Amino acid sequence: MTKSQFLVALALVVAVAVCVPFDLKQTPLLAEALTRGNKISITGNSVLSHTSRCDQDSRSLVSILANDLRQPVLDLSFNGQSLSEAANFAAVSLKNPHIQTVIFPVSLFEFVDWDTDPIRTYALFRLLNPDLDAASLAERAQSPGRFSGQESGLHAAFDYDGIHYPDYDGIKQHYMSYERDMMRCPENDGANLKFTAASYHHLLMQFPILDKPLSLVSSLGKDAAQRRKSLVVVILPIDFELFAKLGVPGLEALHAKVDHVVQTLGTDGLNVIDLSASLHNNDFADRWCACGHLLETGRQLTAERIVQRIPDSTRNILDSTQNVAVYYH
Amino acid sequence: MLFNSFAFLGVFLPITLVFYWILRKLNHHSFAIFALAAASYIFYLYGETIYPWLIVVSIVFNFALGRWISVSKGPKRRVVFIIGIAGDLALLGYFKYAFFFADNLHALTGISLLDHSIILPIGISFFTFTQIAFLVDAYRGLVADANPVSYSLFVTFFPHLIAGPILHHKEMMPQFARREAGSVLESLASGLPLFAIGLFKKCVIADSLSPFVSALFAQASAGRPMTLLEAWAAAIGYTMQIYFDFSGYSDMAIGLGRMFSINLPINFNSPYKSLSIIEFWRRWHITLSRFLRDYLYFSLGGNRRGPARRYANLFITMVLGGMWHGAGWTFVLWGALHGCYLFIAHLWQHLFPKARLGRTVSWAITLLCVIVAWVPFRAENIAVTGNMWLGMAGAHGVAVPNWSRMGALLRETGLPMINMVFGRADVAITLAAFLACILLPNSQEFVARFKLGLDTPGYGAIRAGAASRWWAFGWNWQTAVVSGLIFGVALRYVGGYSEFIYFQF
Repeated sequence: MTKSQFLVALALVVAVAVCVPFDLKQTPLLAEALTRGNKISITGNSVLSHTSRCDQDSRSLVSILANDLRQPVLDLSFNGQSLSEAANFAAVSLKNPHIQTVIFPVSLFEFVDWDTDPIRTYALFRLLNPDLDAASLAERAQSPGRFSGQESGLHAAFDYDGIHYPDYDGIKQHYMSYERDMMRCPENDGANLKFTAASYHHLLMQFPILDKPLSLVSSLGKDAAQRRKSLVVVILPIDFELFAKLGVPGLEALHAKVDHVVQTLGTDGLNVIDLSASLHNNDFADRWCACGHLLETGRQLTAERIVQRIPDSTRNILDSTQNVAVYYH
Repeated sequence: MLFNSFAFLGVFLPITLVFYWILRKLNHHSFAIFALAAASYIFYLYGETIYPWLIVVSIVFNFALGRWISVSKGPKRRVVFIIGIAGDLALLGYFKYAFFFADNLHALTGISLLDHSIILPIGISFFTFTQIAFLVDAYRGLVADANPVSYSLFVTFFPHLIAGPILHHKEMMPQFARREAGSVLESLASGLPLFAIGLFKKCVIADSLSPFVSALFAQASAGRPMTLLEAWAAAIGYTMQIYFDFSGYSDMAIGLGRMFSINLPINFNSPYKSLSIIEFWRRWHITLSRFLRDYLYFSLGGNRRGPARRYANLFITMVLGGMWHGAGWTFVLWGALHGCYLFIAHLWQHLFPKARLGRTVSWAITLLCVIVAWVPFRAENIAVTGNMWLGMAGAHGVAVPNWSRMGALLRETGLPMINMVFGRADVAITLAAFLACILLPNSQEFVARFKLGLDTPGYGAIRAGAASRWWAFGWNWQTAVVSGLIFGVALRYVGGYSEFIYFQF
């Protein structure tokens, strides 16, 4: 082999290795979304898998849901899943002939930093779900996370109440680890309430709700309707009580944001369950992060309310003694 | 500018390569060297925005003095030499150690000389050491070349500028003076595979270890007593992280140098395979070891003044070597520990010259000592070091991860569990990295056929026999596929902010 042939071959292999949208985390999950024999699938972020060490009942929200529905649920959620990822996983599972219902729980803050996939994942999603109303390739290519997939707004440093907070990595290192360390049972509102207040401001108030993620979810609903399947959008609970107690400005504006999301999606004909104000302060875990993690009571109530809205045709009433499996990832 | 950034890989490197090779092929040798020096300064400016002039002042100062010393005779020569060394040490002392000494003085006496830390100029330790060696050699009459552009490139050549290898003018100046252009294709086809290995080591392995190591040390910094598994996971994780981070950088530097047809000295030779701590320092950061030996240990008298003085010199050299890494008691402790290790190792050899512990035992003891010593190197302060060491000794108890089988069993008994900040994936990556360190050939052995990098006399022949092995890279399709794959996979990890550990030194 000559040196020029060697260099050309090397360059070709590099190009293939860079561009092939294989991902160790997402590719196997996508395969499951397409092939598993479940009737119900669910997508979402860490709220779905989180449990607290203070809980007696250590089942996750998905486990409780599966138990209440008395059938296995295909769990397509993972920590840090963005709205764009969730929508694409949901769309892929809608192509699965067995899936009848997709549960689509969303945290309000996901309507801000919603499209965080690196370009190669974006390209794979576009290939799999060309009808979803995603960002254009040009928009995606201009995003700061186009290669790394890192989020922009919510991951950036910010100031609140005269204090400068570092970017997400810095916050994890300096604030979140401290909170985890200080956490005792029962869980409280956090050791550093200034940080808790800053978290609520940053995640829920600092940025406006964007139209693009709303139209993405609407297009997912249309896809489901065309396939005669059901999509259940769940607006996950927000700790409004703590938001008010901490004196974070903009409580009414926060309610208005939720109303805007619910109305927009409802107008587009989607089945939306607004659980944003359904829980009390003491139903929430990890309150300092404002990320909506739930304690066992919160998970049980949330699961109960979701189950009430699942179409009867999907529910498969089994003998109550039958064990129910959930596929975890 | 970071090697693992799109600005470097997509813009700086291609443009610099094209300009350099066009000039070389047009036989504009001097212009090519000048262009490379200018590009290196631009590379430096990209990251150093506060003191961009400092490196220029340092180069002019050292070059002028070195040149004067090398051509002069008489008593003034010694005075100028002392002024030069004092100037370099003052520069390093001010930027790197002034706040440390002021802080300690304040703690001891209450006198406040400095109330804020001083921002450290990028690469100051590396370019100062490089030039101290130049002055010493000029004084010893070993400097022949006096071309200012070549000298400037010797100091600023971007592959080594920020985190080494620490170059010696004797091995670089002849290469800069060489007028034959060499082959572009051969240079690229030799340098790229090693660069790819380095990028993979940094972006895929070291950066994957970084989050959980940081999280564990953050827990220790927050004052949480570290349990046995947590403390060992942190220490072993960091041991792997710093090796793959720094040796990855060195591989990239050597690979980059070769793309310009310039060979840099080899810096790592499977240090975690060492069977003694003496061997470890012949395999780890070889160019720093060489510098410390030639310009500090020998200057202190080396082993010429009896065993007691020899051990003292070793200890002093290692403590100062520790302090070279940073102004802090943790670095002093790290250096002192290695000083003690070396003292014990040499004493053992002296007292029991025929004693053999066996390869496995020797290797295990050596690695254990190295891992224990990395704790203060990474820890924020002595208290955190103490917390970690106590944890490693089991003084804070043993907690089992929630995710383990044992954790599941214990949870059912109702015992309180600790939420560990590392998971199965972290353990798997650390284990894989550890096995790669001790079972696989090192990067230099993989690319032995390309004859990349310069060996350092007295530090062992690194690539002996490797070139004939079946796994050795060559200009064939197997190497194209393997190095292309690791390059491509590494590129997928490029983009996030991840600084090299040795940038801070």
